[in-house]
Amino acid sequence: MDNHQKILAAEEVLRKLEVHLRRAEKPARYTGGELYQAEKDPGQELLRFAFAFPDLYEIGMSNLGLQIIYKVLNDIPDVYCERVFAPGLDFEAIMREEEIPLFTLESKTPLYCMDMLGFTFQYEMSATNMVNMLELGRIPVLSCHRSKEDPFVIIGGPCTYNPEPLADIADLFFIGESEEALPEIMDCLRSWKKEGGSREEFLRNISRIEGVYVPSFYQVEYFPDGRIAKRVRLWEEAPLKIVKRIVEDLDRAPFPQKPLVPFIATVHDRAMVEIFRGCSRGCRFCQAGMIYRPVRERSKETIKALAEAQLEATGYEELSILSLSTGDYSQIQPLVEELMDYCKKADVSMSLPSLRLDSFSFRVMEEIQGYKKSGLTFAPEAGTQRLRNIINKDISQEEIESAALQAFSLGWNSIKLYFMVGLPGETREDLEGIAEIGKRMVELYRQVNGGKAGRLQVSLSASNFVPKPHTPFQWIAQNTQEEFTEKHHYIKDQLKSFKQVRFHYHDSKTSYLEAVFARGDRRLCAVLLEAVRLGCKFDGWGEHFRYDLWMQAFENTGVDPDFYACRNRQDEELLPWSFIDCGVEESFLTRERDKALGGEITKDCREGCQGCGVNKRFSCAAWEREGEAQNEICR
Amino acid sequence: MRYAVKWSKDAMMQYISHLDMMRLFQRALKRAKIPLMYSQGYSPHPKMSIAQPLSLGYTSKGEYLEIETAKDIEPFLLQQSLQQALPKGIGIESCRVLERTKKALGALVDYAAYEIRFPMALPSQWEQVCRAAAAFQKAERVMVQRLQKKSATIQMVDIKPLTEKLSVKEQGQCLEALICTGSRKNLSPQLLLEGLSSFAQEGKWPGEARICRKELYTTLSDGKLLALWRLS
Repeated sequence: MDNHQKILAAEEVLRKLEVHLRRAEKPARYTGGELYQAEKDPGQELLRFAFAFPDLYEIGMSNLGLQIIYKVLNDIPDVYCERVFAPGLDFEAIMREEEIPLFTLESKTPLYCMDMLGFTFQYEMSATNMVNMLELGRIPVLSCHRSKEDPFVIIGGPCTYNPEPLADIADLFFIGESEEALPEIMDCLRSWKKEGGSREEFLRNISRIEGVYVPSFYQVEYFPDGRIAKRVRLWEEAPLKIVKRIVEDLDRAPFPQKPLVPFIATVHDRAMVEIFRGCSRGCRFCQAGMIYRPVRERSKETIKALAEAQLEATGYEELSILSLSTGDYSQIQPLVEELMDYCKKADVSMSLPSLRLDSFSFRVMEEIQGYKKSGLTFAPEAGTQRLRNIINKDISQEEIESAALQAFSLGWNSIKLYFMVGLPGETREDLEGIAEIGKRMVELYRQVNGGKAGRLQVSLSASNFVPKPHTPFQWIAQNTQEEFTEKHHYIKDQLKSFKQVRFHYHDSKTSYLEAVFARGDRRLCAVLLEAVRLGCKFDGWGEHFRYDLWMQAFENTGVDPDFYACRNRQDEELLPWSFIDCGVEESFLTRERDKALGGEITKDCREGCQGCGVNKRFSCAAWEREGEAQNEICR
Repeated sequence: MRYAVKWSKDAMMQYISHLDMMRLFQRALKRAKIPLMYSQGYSPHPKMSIAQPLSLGYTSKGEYLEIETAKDIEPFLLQQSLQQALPKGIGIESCRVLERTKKALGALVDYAAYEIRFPMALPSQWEQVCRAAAAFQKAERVMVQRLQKKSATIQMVDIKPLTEKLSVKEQGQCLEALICTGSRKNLSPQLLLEGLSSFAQEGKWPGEARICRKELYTTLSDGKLLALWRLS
């Protein structure tokens, strides 16, 4: 397809939008044109890339990854990166009726005109939306059906640390952080376009880029009982292991100073600066804590410069600093103080997610929130110290209580606590412990407020534990839905007479499907396609989630979901994601699992290397800080 | 210093709601480094308002933003720096200092001029527009159902006295209307179209209308209308 045909296709979309867009619920989701949108001339020789977010505009536009990738790609002169989101159900119906193909917001070009379409896979339950978007964009859903005229479909994001459930859909995956790899991928695409080779040739070339995984170069064979027997290479030069990519020097990594500023309210509509990547705490349930290792900080000066540049360029009224655990930033105190100074002068408010519960945090919160006290949030994750040791969540009862006491004496009236149910090694006492913490909050509030607790609101929120790949719990069976439900009721019963305490829990059916896809293999592709055919989409949205249709899809395809969610794996089993190397070694994961079951904690790796192995592949500041002698354990 | 800023909204921006426009201007003023005065009290908010909300899906050449700045700025410079801070699709038409006008612009609005186009209409439908407009002019009353938002009940209203002027342009491809707008009496162009279409032959009324607000007016003590941009 030449440029002229692409321009005509876009004009056709535009003509239809002029008539039909006004029928959409929120037309501004589809118009583009926001401040700092990239503008390039589609008449020129460009590599056309669509960044696809498989959820609504309001969700996708809150994603920092989108802003980073948008900048990285559009900074390349001959690359035009545009955006596309999942259309709302109302507008999808109009698009189907009026035969409007899914299009990019910037130039209204149909997706089938792109050279490459890049999905971000942030959440297991967004897979149906990807399939639906491909269909709406008139791109064959299965990679084996795509021809030379079709775009390449690349999928990245945290969920691709187990890419296998989408193996038949993606032409290629990218595992890890893409800032440095994207220009390499574009170079490869450019030369391939010039030389006019086959799709196969492109995929061979691109598989040489570190972090790229081309699933069609491999075949998976299974034992009769359903476990994976082996992975066979169909092309002998295909890499055996796919090593994730990271950006070693965050200070020099590209970061948006002029992010797109949406017209309509989005979930997080504010300036955002990422202060570090990775996390040194080693919570055993947490996938992010494993796959984003090692910890890499952005310098305080760079953070300040980026924050100021963003605020100046956008006029945002709020600044948020992002990381997995804000309080662990090495210079958090001076950073927050200096940012606060600037924000006060610039009349900007600040939000600091995931601070530690120490006196400094309270001082900061007092200052940034003034008299408007929003809710206070803690995540003990488990109800007793014993279980917190098992999951290696380093927070003690005393810390929770002293923080709550401080908060109540400073005038807070509402407190939220997050827990998980279904963790390995969990007993009745742990469930009771969740309720106990809720009750204890009421007691402490009474202590501070002269016996009264009328204004107090305690919210206990329990999510259902979903075992994730690349964590010490990756071998462990998830609780059944019946077990989850029984546990929810058990906790609820304990709290009957406490009207200040509200107990919320997640839907077990959604958690079950999350677990299936989190640790699924290639056989789930067929289920996914069948689910879409039956009408599943927006599965992450409670009101749209159709468990019955999903079960129908499993039945129609003869795949047993319990095999993925509710089964304990042996150490010898070849796991679907075993070829993905995130730097953390499997021996570390088994060691951590065994320590967990023995109730033994592992220290934060800033206090000494714990030997996860990531330093063998990447330079790890925590490891380098120590002397060689102390690091014997790592070898 | 108080200013009346007249601005326009083109087709690109027609789907940005009133509330979203407020936030857009607040951010644009911040980008342009135009400091606003803040109200006193428990939760101070910047002194900035849009004179008359515009419905989603309408374009406009006559919108008004009223702001009170913390420092005096040449109106011309304010216009220029604000324009530079705005995304494509929002144009600053003029900017004047408000000294004699004490009331809020929003409280002064009595009328709005609209241009209503029928881009998909066939010549036979243009004819219907002409006929309906003529019948409308002759009619003593034009009763239309209006949904009362507060009580959620449907009322019959006579829209004839709310329509100051109505004229047909381009053989019926376009209508120009001057209708009551604001907090005292209000008629939406949509309701006007409903009233008009009742005079057309069944099924012959052109469906799709493109509505553009041209100007907002206030009534002077002598009964004459004055476009808001002329206020000082």
